[in-house]
Amino acid sequence: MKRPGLWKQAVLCCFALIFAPNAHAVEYSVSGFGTVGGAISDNSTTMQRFINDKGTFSRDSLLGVQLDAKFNEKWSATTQVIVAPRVDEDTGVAPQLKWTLLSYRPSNDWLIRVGRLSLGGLLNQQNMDVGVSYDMARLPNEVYLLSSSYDFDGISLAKTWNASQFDITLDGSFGFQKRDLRSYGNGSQTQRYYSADVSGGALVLTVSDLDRTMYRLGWDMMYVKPVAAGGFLSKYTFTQLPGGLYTLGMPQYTSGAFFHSFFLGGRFPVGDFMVSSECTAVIPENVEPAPPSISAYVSLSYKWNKWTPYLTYAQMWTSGMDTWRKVQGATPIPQLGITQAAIDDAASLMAVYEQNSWMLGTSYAISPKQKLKAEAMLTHVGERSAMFDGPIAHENVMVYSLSYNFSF
Amino acid sequence: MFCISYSLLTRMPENSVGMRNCRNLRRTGRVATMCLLAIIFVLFPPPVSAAVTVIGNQSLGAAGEIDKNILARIFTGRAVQISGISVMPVNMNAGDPARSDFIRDILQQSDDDYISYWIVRRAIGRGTPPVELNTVGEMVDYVRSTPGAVGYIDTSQTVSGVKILLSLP
Repeated sequence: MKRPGLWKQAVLCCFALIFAPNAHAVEYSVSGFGTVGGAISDNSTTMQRFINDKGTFSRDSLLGVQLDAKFNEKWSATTQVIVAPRVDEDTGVAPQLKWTLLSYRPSNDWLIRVGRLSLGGLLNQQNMDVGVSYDMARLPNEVYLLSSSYDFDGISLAKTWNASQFDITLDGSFGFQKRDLRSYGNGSQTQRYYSADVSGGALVLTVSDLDRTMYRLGWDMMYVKPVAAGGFLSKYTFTQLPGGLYTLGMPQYTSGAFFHSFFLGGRFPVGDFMVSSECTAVIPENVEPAPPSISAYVSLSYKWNKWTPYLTYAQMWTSGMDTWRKVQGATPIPQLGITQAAIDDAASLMAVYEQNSWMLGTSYAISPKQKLKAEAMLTHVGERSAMFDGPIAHENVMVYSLSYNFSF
Repeated sequence: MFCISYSLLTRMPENSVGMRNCRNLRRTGRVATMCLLAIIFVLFPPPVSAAVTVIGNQSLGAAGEIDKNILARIFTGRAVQISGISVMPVNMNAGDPARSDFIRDILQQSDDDYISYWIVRRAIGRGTPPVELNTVGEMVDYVRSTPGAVGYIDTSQTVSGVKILLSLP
C-alpha cells in the first residue's frame, strides 16, 4: 500500500541539507546496520507473522542505511531507511522510511527534533532494529508487541538535567502516523490489514548514566481512527436463541478510539550480571477487540569475555478472555450468514493473549560491530494467543533462532 | 637448590669440576628462563599504558577549567558547549593506544564499549561519533585549526599552537 506522504519527509530532509543554516562546512557520514537471522519452531501454526516449523528468515532479517549531515554543533539532519518485510502485507520486502528529521540543539540541555521520529517508552524501542546494539536474539515480543509508539511524523522536545553521574531527560512529543494494523481470521485462515490514522503524544522520563544503566518511565496517548468508512468494531452483541443458546448479533462500530500506554523499565548491573526488566500496560477505551493488556519481562545476562549468555522470562496478561469465550461459543446460524468460520474470525479478531516465554540464549561479540546470537525460546500458550495465526491452546512451542548482526 | 644441596652432601671443594658444572647449570637455567620470559612477553605483551595529554583549540581559552566529567560528556555527545563555547571532539582511530587510555581514563570503559555506545546513539538519531583521525600530526593540525576542537595525544609528544587542557592520568 502506497503512502504518498512518506517520501515527502525525505524531500524535506534533502532541502534541509541544501539550505542548512550556517552550513559553511557540512560533515556527511553514512552508516548502516543489519541482521541476517533465521528462526524455526516445532509447530505448524505460524507465530509472530512468520515463524513456524518450515523456518523463516523474514522475522528478523533487515538492512538499514543512515545518512547523517552535521551542519554545525547545533544543527544536524538524519535520514534512515530500512529494507525489511512489508508492514502492510505478509509477503515481500520494501524500503521503509524510519527516520527523517532535523535536529536543533541550542544548548547542552535542549534538543528539538522535527520530522519522522521513532519514540517510545521502552528501553530498546528506538534501537530495536539495530540487532548489534543488544544481546538478546529478539526483544521479548510479549512486551515489544504492545508498544504503540512506532515511527510518526511530528515534533519532539527534550530537556536534560545533569545530576552528578546521571542524566535525567524529559522527552515530550506529538505527531501523526498512518499505521497498518494486522488481524488474522482463524475461520477464513487469512490475514487482513487495515489502515488507521493515528495521532497522539507521549511523555517519557529517562534516567541514565554514561555506562549501561537506564531507567525509563513513560506514558503515551494515541487516537486511532481507521481509514475505512465504517470504523472498527468496538463492541460485540449477542442474540439469544431458544434453549439457552445464543449467536452473534450485529456488532457496534466506532470511528475511533483512544489508547493509553504506560511504560516502566530499568537496566542496571548487579555485580557482574546485568539485569533488565520492563513492564508495559495498554489500555484502550471502549474497544472490546482490543482489551487492556499488561506485559512484562525480566532478563539476566552475564558478560564473559566476548560471550554474553542470558536468561529471560516474559509474560502477557489480557483482560477480555470472558468476552472471547462468549464470542467463540456462539452458535452458528448459516442461514443468516453466521457460519462457524465467521464466528472464528470474529473471535480471533480479539487481541487477547495468555502466554509466557522462557528464552535462553547467548550473543558472541566478534567485534563491537558484529554479533552472533543464538537462542532457544519456549512459549507456553494458555487458552488463546493472538500472536499465533490459528487456533492454539494449552500448548508449548519451541523456537530456535540464529542471527548475524552487524553495523558499519 | 639442587647444586647447593649436592655440594653440601658431597662437600665438594668450591673450585672442583662438580661445582663448576653446577655453576654452568645454574647459568644455563637463567638463560633458559630469560628466553622463556621473552617468548611469553612477545606472545602476550602486557598492556602499554601511556600518559595522555588533552589538547584544545586556542578558542577554548575562555572556557574555564575542563575536568574529566566534562570531557566524558563531550566525547559521549552529551555536551556540545562549554561555557557557551561550542566544542568539537576528535578521536584517534579505534585501536590507537592513546585512544584506549583516554577512553578508559575518562569513561572507565573499554574502546569496544565506547564504540557500542555510539552505535546506539547514532541509530536513535542522537548524534554522530567524534571525527576519527589516523596520526598524531593530523590530530594536532585539526585541533590547532578547528575552533572548539578537543583532542588528545600521547604525553611524550611535543606540540605547539594548542591549549593544554588536562594531563591524564
